[in-house]
Amino acid sequence: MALIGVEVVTPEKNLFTGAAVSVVTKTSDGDLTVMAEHAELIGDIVPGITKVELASGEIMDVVVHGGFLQVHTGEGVADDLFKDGEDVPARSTRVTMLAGVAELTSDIDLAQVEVEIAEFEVAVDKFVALVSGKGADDPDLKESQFELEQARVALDRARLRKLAVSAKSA
Amino acid sequence: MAGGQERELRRRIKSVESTKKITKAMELIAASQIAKAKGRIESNKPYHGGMRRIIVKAAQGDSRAAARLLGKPEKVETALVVVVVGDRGLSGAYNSSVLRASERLIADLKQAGTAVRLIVVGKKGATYFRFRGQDVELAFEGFSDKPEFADALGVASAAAQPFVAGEVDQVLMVSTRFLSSATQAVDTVQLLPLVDPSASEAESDEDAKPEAKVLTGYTEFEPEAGKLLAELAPKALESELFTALLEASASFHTAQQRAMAAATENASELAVTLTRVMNRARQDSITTEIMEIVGGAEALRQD
Repeated sequence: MALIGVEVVTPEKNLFTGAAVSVVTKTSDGDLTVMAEHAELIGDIVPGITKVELASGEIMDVVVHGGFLQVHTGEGVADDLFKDGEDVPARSTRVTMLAGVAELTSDIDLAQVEVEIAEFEVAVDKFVALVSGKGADDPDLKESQFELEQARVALDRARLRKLAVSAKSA
Repeated sequence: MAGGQERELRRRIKSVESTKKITKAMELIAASQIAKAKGRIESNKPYHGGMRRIIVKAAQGDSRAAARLLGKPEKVETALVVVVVGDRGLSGAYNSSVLRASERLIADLKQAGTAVRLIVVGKKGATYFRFRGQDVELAFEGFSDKPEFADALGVASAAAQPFVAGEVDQVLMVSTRFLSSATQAVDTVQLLPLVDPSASEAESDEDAKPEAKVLTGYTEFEPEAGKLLAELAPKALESELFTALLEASASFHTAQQRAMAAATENASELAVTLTRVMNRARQDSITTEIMEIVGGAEALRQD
């Protein structure tokens, strides 16, 4: 099986770089599987779990909270992603996944996520009450709405993390 | 009197020495922060670069959608200005040069008949504009030393929201770019509509231009390029903002290190000068005392 080079890149660090057999993810057009010799592609990744089948046969789950991917096939385009000793194909396929926020499911601490979910639920309730309690001409309304939006996003992220962990252990 | 002067000088020297200790410590802290900030800029590079590559590709895929999302707006009635400064001072001209540049920009915009709305990142900016009676719509603070991506997300959504709602036609940002350890420069860039990254690269690198025009084969888009571009735009804005915040923080630490190094040097010089003055004062008082004794002895002898 020809290997492909995969990198999962976030603004703060490179989450993963290495060789893999396939990448299964979901774009807004539907599920997408990338294997060697895939055509050039640019797509989005909807928030969810992306599965990377590693060269060892192990499946690595990556929680991607929305992002994009680029598939690039050509000669030597993914050489830097392979480790020494790995069989580097002459023509290779490079899958670059860009995500603002992403993590490996194996890095997620379930207990901590539970705490986060509880915290953000309280925060969302608090800001909902705060926003509805304010008149349309209240100067602080904008700020409260903004904070509510942020809390909702954080809550969604925490819930997705929990989902990813329970899907993996199930 | 002379003894009093000496004591006074001794006290001043002591105070200068302790100030010097503080500035020296701040210099060393800033120096260690520079290294960290530079590391963070480096780790952001693959993401930032990848984002730009995707934008360029998607823009090639649907030039009509690209024309709508990228480029200069024809008419700007309201502009949103994002000013990025530090939370703290003691950093030389770092804050003031950004603030001066943004004030000039705001004045220019107003002269052209454009209404200006303002978002400020950094404590120093919020107080500056509020003091001058300029309305600050949203002020962010607390992360200019070490910005996290989540912080950039907050600023980005605040900047994008009025643009998406059609309330503003252009979003500009004034910040300090970290060109290298030796050079940092205040720069004004257009955040929205997005600036096509390929345009600026082609400008700076004429040789690469014809090559870029050649289509490198067929690229699939999922979803279609136009829709993808619309999704990409806010993400690209986040990435641009995060990069700007990182560069601003590295520039801040560099400016602070430089300012504190200069302050330490000044303190050393001042201590040397003051010590000299003090020694002269002490010598004077000794000479005067001797003269008094000699004078007294002379007077006794004549008796």
